[in-house]
Amino acid sequence: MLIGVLAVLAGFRPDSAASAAEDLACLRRLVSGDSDALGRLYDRHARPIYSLVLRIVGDEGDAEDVVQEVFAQAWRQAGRHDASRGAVGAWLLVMARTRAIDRLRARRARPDLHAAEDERAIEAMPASTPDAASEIIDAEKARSVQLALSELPLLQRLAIELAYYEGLTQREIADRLEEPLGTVKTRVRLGLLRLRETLAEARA
Amino acid sequence: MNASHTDLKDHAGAYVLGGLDAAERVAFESHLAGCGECAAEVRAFLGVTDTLARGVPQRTPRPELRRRVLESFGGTPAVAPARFEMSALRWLPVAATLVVTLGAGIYAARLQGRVTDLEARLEQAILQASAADSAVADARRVSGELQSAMGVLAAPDLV
Repeated sequence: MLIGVLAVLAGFRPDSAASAAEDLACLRRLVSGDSDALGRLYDRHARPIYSLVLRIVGDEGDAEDVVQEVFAQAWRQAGRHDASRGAVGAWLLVMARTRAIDRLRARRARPDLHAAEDERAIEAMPASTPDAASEIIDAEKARSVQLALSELPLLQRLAIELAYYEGLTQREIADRLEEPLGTVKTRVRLGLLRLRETLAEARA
Repeated sequence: MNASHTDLKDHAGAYVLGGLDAAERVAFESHLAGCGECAAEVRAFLGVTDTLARGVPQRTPRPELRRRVLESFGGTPAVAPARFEMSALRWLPVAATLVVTLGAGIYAARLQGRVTDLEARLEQAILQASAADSAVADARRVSGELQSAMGVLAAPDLV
């Protein structure tokens, strides 16, 4: 924990400029067919990607399949990445979330008898032991987001979580929460505004 | 703002979370193109979605996954179809120039061959013509000599 705090104070963050430049260099090497670059990208981003995908699909086997698809997509589309539109890590996470939600929707279309067991398995899974400064920082970051989310009014938080992690449309959320559609839209917007403020304050 | 903005401004949050259905998304995106306020809100929310992505309990994947990811690319060509089309397009003018140059070269070589051939034939023709000329001259000389000889023979003996 102390190392993590010191690292944050020292400005060592996975998204720092040097790190972003290295990510871009990896992508360029990937374009020219260098598979070592894929290993580098994997080592730098697999953990947050896997964690997000697992949170969404809720099953380790499915999560591994999706992570593999994400890196396959990164490999195919490395040449199309637009550095001006965001960091490589954020780009990978957007792809990860989209693919994970696709997997979730496909599974909803053909209900799985083992879904409940999977959920229990996730609950029982031990949190991994962070063994590097970047992992501690990732974990700290995740905790601060969870804290910010927990400070939202419950219905705002639910609306955001159902939209982002479950991939539900506003209409589906309205049905799920038994609320008017307009109310759901407003809740999501207000929740995001508040979350943004809280996180900005935490960073300041 | 117009009525459309009032109707659509609440879509910004759902839009960045991917929670609009297809028709709503199309309507909001066309509104977004002309509305600075909604565009600014969408930009602000995009940072929040990245935060949400990182705001989950962190788990380390099994080491097998790394091997699986890397192994699945061992034999795969790194050049994606889209990139292939790009590079094919880029090489097209070069290839076309090469073909044209090669064709022109072969044509020029053939022309050169024909010119050499024609020159040789012309030279031969000139030689033949000059040979014929000298034969004609010889014939004329002989016929002149004969005529004068005949003249001498046929002349009345005046002496």
